[in-house]
Amino acid sequence: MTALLPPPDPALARTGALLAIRGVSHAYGPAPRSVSALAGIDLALRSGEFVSIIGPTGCGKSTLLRIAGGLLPPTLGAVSIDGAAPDEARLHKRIGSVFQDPALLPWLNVRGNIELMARVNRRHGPRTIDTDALLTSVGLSDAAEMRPHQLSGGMRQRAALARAFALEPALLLMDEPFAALDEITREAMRYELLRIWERRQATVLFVTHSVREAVALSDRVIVLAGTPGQLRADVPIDLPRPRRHEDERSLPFLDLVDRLRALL
Amino acid sequence: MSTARGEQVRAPVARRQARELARSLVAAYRVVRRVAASLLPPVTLGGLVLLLWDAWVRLRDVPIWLVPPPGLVLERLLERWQFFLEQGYVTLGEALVGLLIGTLGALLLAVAMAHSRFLERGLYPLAIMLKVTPVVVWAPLFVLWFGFGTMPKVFIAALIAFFPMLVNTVTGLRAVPPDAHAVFRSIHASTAEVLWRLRLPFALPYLFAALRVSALLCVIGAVVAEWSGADRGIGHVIAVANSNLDTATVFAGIITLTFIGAILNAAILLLERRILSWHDAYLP
Ligand SMILES: Nc1ncnc2c1ncn2[C@@H]1O[C@H](COP(=O)(O)OP(=O)(O)OP(=O)(O)O)[C@@H](O)[C@H]1O
Ligand SMILES: [Mg+2]
Repeated sequence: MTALLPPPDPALARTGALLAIRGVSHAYGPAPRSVSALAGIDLALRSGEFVSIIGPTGCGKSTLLRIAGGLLPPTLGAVSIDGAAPDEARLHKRIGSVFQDPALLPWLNVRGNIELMARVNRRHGPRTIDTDALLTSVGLSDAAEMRPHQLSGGMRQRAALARAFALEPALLLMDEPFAALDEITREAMRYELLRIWERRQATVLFVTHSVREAVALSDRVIVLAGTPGQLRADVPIDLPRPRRHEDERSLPFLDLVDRLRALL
Repeated sequence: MSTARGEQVRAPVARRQARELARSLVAAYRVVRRVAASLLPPVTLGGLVLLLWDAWVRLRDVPIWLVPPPGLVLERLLERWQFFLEQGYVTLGEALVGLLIGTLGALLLAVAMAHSRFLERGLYPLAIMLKVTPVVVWAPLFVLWFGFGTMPKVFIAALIAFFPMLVNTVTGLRAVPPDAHAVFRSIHASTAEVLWRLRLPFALPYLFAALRVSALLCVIGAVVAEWSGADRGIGHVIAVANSNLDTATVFAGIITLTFIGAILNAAILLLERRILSWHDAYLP
């Protein structure tokens, strides 16, 4: 198991997890002066599970996400997505991603940005995208022909969300997607994301700095800490679904938030 | 009944045509006003300079062969306008073909350099050598190698256009926002797709900035090359007039060059506005 990413590890494939991360460590830079970012991470996500990662800044959350998506080969360890290597999953367009920056192409309108997902690497993945249905589900049906600069920050992130769901990905990787939004929009986006996720059945790995956000969204919250980052805790969130904004005032919710805060 | 409905349909059509005509008239008026507004500053300042120039030549009794009065230059330009038009056309042609070749060459090389640090490190010294050597050094060499025809002029123009285009394009091709790149990589976009759909569009603002510089440099290149050996073009005209102490023609040549530069600049601005409408939207 080297940086070259071997064919999927049969043991990993057999776990039945949609995303399996085993023994992953990562160090940036060449050997003597390398910066160790992650050490010995083991993590498995069941199909359809929503898992959040929280942890102090610099503990390697983004690094872990990049490794999970096959954008960065780990120094040690292996990843499998639905039984295949991450590169294989990328090739077949099984991964959707949303970052803090919506990263829309400014010369394309919203529709063009979403449909681009089918045009790039066109031999794989769905040929056609039901853009109108996607835009309706993120509340952007009137903005299809608008360019990114004509949209508000929240609308841009909604478009990025629609783009991430466009190829019906098995795995959705989200790195602080709502961090740049104002608090009201941010809270509304949580429940919009949940509604889309419940309908479209993706497995989600979600990085955030907000404990409330993690609890509101997730089936499980992973706490990552230290340099290099290690798993500190794995807390199940047994709150009923579908969840609503009002539930954030319930006692069990506040209790979980307090418990996680204590772990940070 | 069907005719009645036809009438009903036709009336709004006529009204719509009238509305469209009105709209295009308004648009035309806006264009004229904008052009007039953009011409006002250069015309005012230019007129002021011409007045001072004329006054100075008259008051100090400067001899004509040293500095001609503006009236004489204008007279020369008007009485031989066809000649200056033809010669200017020659120079403009050389500059444009040179710009095209230099730009294409720079683009190809920039794409190679943006993808390979090895090529970037290997080729920059060469590009720098081409750049630090003044065109006046290259021009006679090129005339020696390629003769007195159009070729050496075009090559010098291409050479001088090359460097700004290269440096800016390499920078531009690397100026892709990392998250946009990550989205492309996460669906396994090929290198060609990243280049075509991501790098080149994001490089366009850099490319146009360089094009505006290079387009004017090209004219200099063509003129210097003509100066070093040619039988036509503004550079040749100025060189001959210079040796005859015919300063009025020299200045008329300079004015012709100014027009060429202004035309090139305007053409590129127009093209930029067309292609980069999305980028304009970023500006305040
Ligand atoms: N490209 C890189 N080269 C070298 N070091 C890096 C690189 N990217 C991240 N690091 C280092 O790796 C560590 C983990 O970074 P990472 O971005 O994964 O943290 P993070 O948990 O996402 O932080 P934040 O919450 O601030 O986003 C940090 O110490 C950082 O300095
Ligand atoms: Mg991060």
